[in-house]
Parts: sequence; structure tokens; C-alpha cells
Amino acid sequence: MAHPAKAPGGLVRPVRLRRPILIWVAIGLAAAGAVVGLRALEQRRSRDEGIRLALSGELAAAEPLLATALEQDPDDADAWRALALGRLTAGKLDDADGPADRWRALRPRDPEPHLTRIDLAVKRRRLDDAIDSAATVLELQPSAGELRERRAGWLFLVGRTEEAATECRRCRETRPDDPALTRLEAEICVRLGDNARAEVLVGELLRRHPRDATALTLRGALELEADRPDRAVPPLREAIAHIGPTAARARHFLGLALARTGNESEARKLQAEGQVQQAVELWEKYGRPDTVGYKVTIAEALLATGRTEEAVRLLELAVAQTPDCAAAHRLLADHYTARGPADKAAHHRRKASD
Amino acid sequence: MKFTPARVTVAALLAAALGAGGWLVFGRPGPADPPAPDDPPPAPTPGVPWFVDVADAAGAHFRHFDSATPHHYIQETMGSGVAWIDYDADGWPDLFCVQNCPVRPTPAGPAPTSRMYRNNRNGTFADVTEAVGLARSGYGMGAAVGDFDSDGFDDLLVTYLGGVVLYHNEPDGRGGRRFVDVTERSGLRNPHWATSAAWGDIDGDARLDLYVCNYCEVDLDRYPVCKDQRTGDVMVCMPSNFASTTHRLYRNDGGGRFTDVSGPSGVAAASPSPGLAVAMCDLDEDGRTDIFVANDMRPAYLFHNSGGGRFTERALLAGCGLGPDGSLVAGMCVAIADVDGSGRPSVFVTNFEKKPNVLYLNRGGLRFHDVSMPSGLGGPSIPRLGFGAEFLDADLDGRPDLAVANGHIHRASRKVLGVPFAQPALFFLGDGRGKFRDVSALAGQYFREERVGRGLAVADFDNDGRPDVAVNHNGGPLALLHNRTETANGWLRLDLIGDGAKSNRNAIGARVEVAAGGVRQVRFVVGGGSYLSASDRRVLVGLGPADRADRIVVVWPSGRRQEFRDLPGRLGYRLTEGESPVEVR
Repeated sequence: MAHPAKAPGGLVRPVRLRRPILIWVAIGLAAAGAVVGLRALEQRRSRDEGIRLALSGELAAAEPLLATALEQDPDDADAWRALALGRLTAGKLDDADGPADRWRALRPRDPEPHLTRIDLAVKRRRLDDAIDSAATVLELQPSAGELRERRAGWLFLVGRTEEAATECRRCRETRPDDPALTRLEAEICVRLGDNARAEVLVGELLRRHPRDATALTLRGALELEADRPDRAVPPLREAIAHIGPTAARARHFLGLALARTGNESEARKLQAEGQVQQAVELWEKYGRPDTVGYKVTIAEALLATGRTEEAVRLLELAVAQTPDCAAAHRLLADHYTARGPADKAAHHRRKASD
Repeated sequence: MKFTPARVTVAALLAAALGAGGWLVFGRPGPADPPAPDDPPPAPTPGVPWFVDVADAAGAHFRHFDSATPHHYIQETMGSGVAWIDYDADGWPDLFCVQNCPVRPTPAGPAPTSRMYRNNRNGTFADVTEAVGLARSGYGMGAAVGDFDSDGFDDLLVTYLGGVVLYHNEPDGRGGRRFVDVTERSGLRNPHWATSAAWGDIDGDARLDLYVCNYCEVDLDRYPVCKDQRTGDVMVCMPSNFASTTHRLYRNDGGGRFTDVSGPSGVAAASPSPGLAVAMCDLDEDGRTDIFVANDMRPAYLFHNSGGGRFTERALLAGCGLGPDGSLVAGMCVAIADVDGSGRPSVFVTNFEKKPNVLYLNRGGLRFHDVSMPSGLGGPSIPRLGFGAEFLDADLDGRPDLAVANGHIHRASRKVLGVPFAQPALFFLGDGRGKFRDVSALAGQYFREERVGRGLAVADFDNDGRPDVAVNHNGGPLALLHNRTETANGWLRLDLIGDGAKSNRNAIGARVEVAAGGVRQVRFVVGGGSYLSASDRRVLVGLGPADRADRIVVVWPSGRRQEFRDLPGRLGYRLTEGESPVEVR
């Protein structure tokens, strides 16, 4: 009986046994790798589809795909971007916040996520966030003049006046004659108590734009502050003439100037008109609620301006809604006492004191 | 292709590498967010006042009741006040904390009550509520302190949702004091939502009269649902949804009786508005007590005292009815001080979030000028919703500083408005020329904590010459801020006592001019102030580097002018009208 040749070291048998094992292990590894790779490719395809859908406005379809993708890779900046922009476009502002933050953290040197956060912050009335993000963008793009101007305005609105002044001055270095920037700097100076500089800026504005309502209002306000109410009246009257009945600020200062020049009756009339405007604005701001408080407040303001018919109509609605509303009865009693009939006056007087 | 072991191994490794690469590219979990850096713990900063909350250590364990419901009724987050009252007249201010209860009271369980803490004269307090007869439940709002019967002991008025309660301070028969409810026999009747109240002599008869602010008329059975238009969250309905009622002015007739003079005085002629704070002070230096009232989203009232118990409302004409540029102010508090060294009382009012707190500089002749932003008080307040506030000279440099409690009214404010419900308080250092610097971040841990601040009142409770602050928080524990400012500045504490014949004994309405080290400062004894709260009436004067007051001129409510000379500092004095000063603890 023949025996197989035996290599030195006795390797024949192990080689024969190890080869199939290695092959199967390798095949197994290859198969596993292929499965993983294919799965990854599928996930990639799904993620790409999610991004496409989100950016094309189909957020509902996109969200589950993007959620899966982000579960797989929480650092996928493009997926966060799509989710943030998709939600922003869909008006889901609160839900867009998280993805936008994540996107921004992953791409700190890219202006786009910061600009998106600004958009989001402005829409959500969170100006501090807009200011912070604008600062980041301006570090990346120092020449973004329009954004710097917006940031100056936001800083002014949130009361960070010194910072607003710095930003506004930088803007004016490149656009010294821009009327909007000049107005803003003048407003900033007033807030900082630098009235001398404000006067200069207002003078500049009015030389170039004699009918500039903001400049006229500021001139009036500055004259009033300087205790020269008589000199405040003409520019404020002119500002109101240019702006029209919505000139709340000019009207306020004019009312004060008139009161201080002894013209109290006109001052009271102006202030009453201001009250109507403010009451209506407040009512509209809160979605025009059908509540007795607004009816009485607006009616009272209307009465003070002589708009009695509208006022009485509102007051009648108020007492229909809340029959024991003393404030409404009191106003109606005053109205009917002045104009009759007396029985109505007596009725409302009695109800007012119940 | 032949499958050699080497080829198979290489292929397998490649496949595995591809798989691993795929996992790395598409499936690797992200790194954890880095921990937020901790702020360094605060420590005193030279030149900046320093406060430490000692409420627990001092035994003032008051916790305000949280009356939250899913309806988010307007009452729920208005909070309550805090009042310093030396009820036993021992020269050590005691502390009264006003308490809420459920908006719709239920019979089950004991209802929370306001609490009175007696000053133990060693920096601690003892709860004596039951012993002094103040264990009363109800939806408490504010308190006003005044000796209405001129017997030398301060009495207490507590405002409630639905009325007021007047407590007379009487001997308890055991050598102590107790409070007796005398509301009915006093004739005080105000079945409305009373908020802040102030004592002051409106007619110069040396008796303290009373002003009570009313907020609005709310019917819980017909309560509107107010939701944020964007998120749909239930929010507090703004007061403008409800009708307001007139405020009340009561004349003190003597003998413990009061008459409602809201009509004949002219107070009721003002447009009914949701009032939250009131201060009584002679604003135009004509010798008569005027009344300033902060209204919520309606113009403020300035009732100018035209004599004979008559008032004319002149806020809009005087320039203190509206905020910056004529905007409506959600007026929550009033604080009064000579902030610019003019010797005239200027008026500070807290405001809603996204609006600046307002400082009306008094230019004399009943003319006010809004300096909210130039003063430095407006800007830092815009992200906050301000409530109680008081001027105090925390570092005793002779210049009024300002403490402001903050906190939103909407519980969902963070989600809906992007601002927290609980907010840090603010502290401003004044320069004596009308400018203020926000030093909140440096004034102690409390000013870095988010709280729902409401009533705030000032007193030097340990009589160390440095003014301390108490703050009541909506649904939270009381803060008792002990002033630990390190300063070598001198001080004087003046307890003014009117003669009781032409001036009210509390000397409310007095003007105090102090000259020390070449510097002149003016203080006022004001009735009311802050939000729902009462500060210690004693006048604490910082002397700066001076060790004595060279001259003190008091103009008493009677109009009498009295001069005191060369009073050594670091002491308290009782200045009684027409008499020589007496040194007191």
C-alpha cells in the first residue's frame, strides 16, 4: 500500500485541512461585508431621498427617512440641514431649532447654517439668537454689510445700545450717506444720551431729506428734551403731516410739547387719539379676542375722541356679553347723562353701582 | 479564477474593510455633546454690592403657594408681596409674607396662610403668625404698613382677590402684640381684586389715608381661553381682556373709621385701569401728597393733589403716563428716589418682557422726562419681565442703587416666547447723576439664579447699616438677601416721627436733605412703592467716606422745616418733629 509523500515538517495534512476552512471563512467574511456594504448603500439611497424630499417641501415623507439616516449617523450635516430647512419651510419653527443647532455645530465655518438660524430666530422673535448667529457670520464674512446693518438694528431693539452703536458705526464707514444708517445712529445717540451728536445727525438728514419723518420726530423729541417745547411743535406737526394718523411716536411728543406750551386741550385730543390707536393695536396683536375688556377700553378711547356712535355700539355689545359690567354701564351712563335720554342714563347709573 | 488561500483572504479582508468603511461612513454613532463649562462660583467684587440669601439660615422658611391650574387663570402667576413691619416697635423690622391659595378654594385640607416672622434681633426670625392673629387664608396679594390710628404701632392692611383686610395692632394682654381684624368697623369695603395699597396723608390732617389699586374683574365661570396663536399653548389672558374697575381712595376720619372718597376726590374720574402699584409722595414739591399709580398696559395715573382732598389725573400731560416714545407700559411696580442729585423725586416703573423698565426723570413743575435707555436701566431689563423693585443705597456711597425682581407670567414662556418663566433678578449701581450700571452678575449668587420674582421690599433687618432685601417668589421660597457689601462708608439711620397733630406720625411725605462731606443728598419718606410690598420706612442714608452728617434738614409733612446738625455716623436716630434727635439702636 502506497503512502502519500510527506513533506518535511509534516505540513501536508494541515494544509489540506486549513484551505477549505480559510475559503469558507473568507467567503463568509465576504458575504457579511457585502451585506453590510449593500445595506449601507441602501441606507445611503434612503437618506439621499429623505434629503431630496425635505428640500422639495415634502416634509412628512422625508422625516422618517431622515430620522433613520440620523440614527445611523448623527453627524450627517447634510441630513440635519435638510431637516432644518424642511421644517423651517413648513413653518414648524420650534421643531426646526434642534436640527438647525446640530447642523451649525457640525459646520461651524459654513455661513449657511448660521444664516438659517438667523432666519429661524427672527421668525420666532428671538433676536438674541439672531444677533449671536449674525456675529458668527460676520466673523466668517466681515464684508456682509447688509447683515451687519440688520444686526445693528436688532441690537438696538433688544437694548444692547453700545453694541448697536459699534456695529452701526462700522456700517457707516462704508456707507456714510445712507439715510437708514444715519437715522439708526441718531436713534442710538438719543438712547445713549449723546444728544449733541444726535442733533448733528438729524441736521444732516434733514439737509438731504427735508421731509424725513423720523428725523423730524427726533428733532422734535430733542427740542422737547432740551426744554424748548415751543421749538418742538413745528417739526412734530410736520412729521405727523407726512406720516399720517399712524404717527404714534410723533403724536406722543407733540402732545407733551403742546401740554408744556399751555395748549392742553389739543394735547388731550392728540393723546386720546393715541389711546384709540394703542387699544386697537393691542386687540389686534392678541388675535382680536371677543372679550368685554377690549370692548370697554376701545369704546372709552373712542368716546374721548368724540366717536360716540362707534363707542356706544361697542358698549352695548359689552353689556350684552356681560350684563353686570360696571365699567361699560358707567360709560353709558355718562354718555346718556350728557346726551339723553335721562331714563337710559338712570338705568345705566343704577347698573354701574350695583 | 482560482481560489487560492491568499486570494480568498485578500478578498475577505477587502469585503470586511468595505463593510467596516460603510459602517464608519453611514452607521457610526456620534460623539457625545461636550459638557457645558461651569461658570466660576461668584465671589465679592471690590466696589460692587454683595448679597447672600440667608432665608433658611435665618428661619424664614416661607414658601409661596403655587396655585397653578391647567386653565392658567390670570391670578395664578401674579404672586404676592412681602412687607417689613416693626410690629412690636422694638427697632428691629419684622417680616410679613403674603400668601396665595387655590384660585378656586376647596374645602379639603388646610389652606395656606400668610406668615409673620418676628425679628429675633440676632439675624434670625421666629414664625409668630398664629400668636399675633394673622393665620388667615385667602388669595393674598399685597400689604401696606402704616399707623392709621397714630398709637405708635404700625398697623397692617392686606389686599386680597376680592377685598382688603385691615388689621389693627393691639396689645395682646401678655406684654406682646396682636393684630385684630377691624375691616368691617373701619368702613373699608372693596369687593374687587385689590393689589397694591399705600398709606399717605392726602389732606394734611395728620391722619393716614389709604389708596387701594384694583386690577380687573375676572369671572372664573366665564373665563376666556387665551392661547398663543402660533403654538396653541394656553397662556395667561392679558388684563385687557377683562373690564377694570375704579381704584379706591379712603379718607381716614379718625376713630378708626374711613370714608370712600374715590368719587369726590377725583380718583374715580380716571379711566378704570388695571392697577398694580402705587406710591404716595409730593412729586411737584408743593407740599401736598400726590399719588402715582402704575397700570398694566394702560397709561399710568398721576393724581396731582390740588388741595382740599381733590386730585386731578395728569400723567399723560406730565409725561409719565406712557413709556419710551409713547409706548404702553405694563406697569408692575413704582419706586421713587432722587436718582440724579436734583433733589426731586423721580419715578421708576417695571415693565413687560421685550419692553424696557421705565425711569421718569422729574424735571420739576410736574414735568417728567423718559430716560429709561440713557439711564442704563432700560437695556438690561428688555429680556426680563420686571415686578417688584426698590431703590436702596447698597454700598452706602450716598447714591441710590436699584434692585429689581423678575419673572414671567406665562408658564410656557420659554417655549412660546423664547424667554424663561423663571428669570434672574437685576441689580444696578447708581452714580448719583441719573446713570446706572448693571452689576447683577457680580452682586451674589441670587442674582444669577432663575426665580419667578414678585414682591420685593428693603429693610436693614440686622441694623448693621446696610440695607437688605426680601423677595417673594411665585410658587417658590422666600429670598432674604443679606447685604454683605464690604465697605468703609459711613451711614445714618433716621426714624422720622411726625408730631401727630399737623404731620402724620409715620412722617410719610417728609423730605430729608443730608449734607455730609460736602455732598448733598435728598431722601423721601414714601407711602407704598414696589409691587404688592412695603419696605422699612426708616431712612437709611449712606454717607460715603464721611463719618458724620454735617447737617440734616427735614421738611415734615406739615411743612415745618427742621434742621439737625453734626450727627455722628454709624448710628440710628429717632427724629421727632419739633424735638431734638435721640440716638437709637
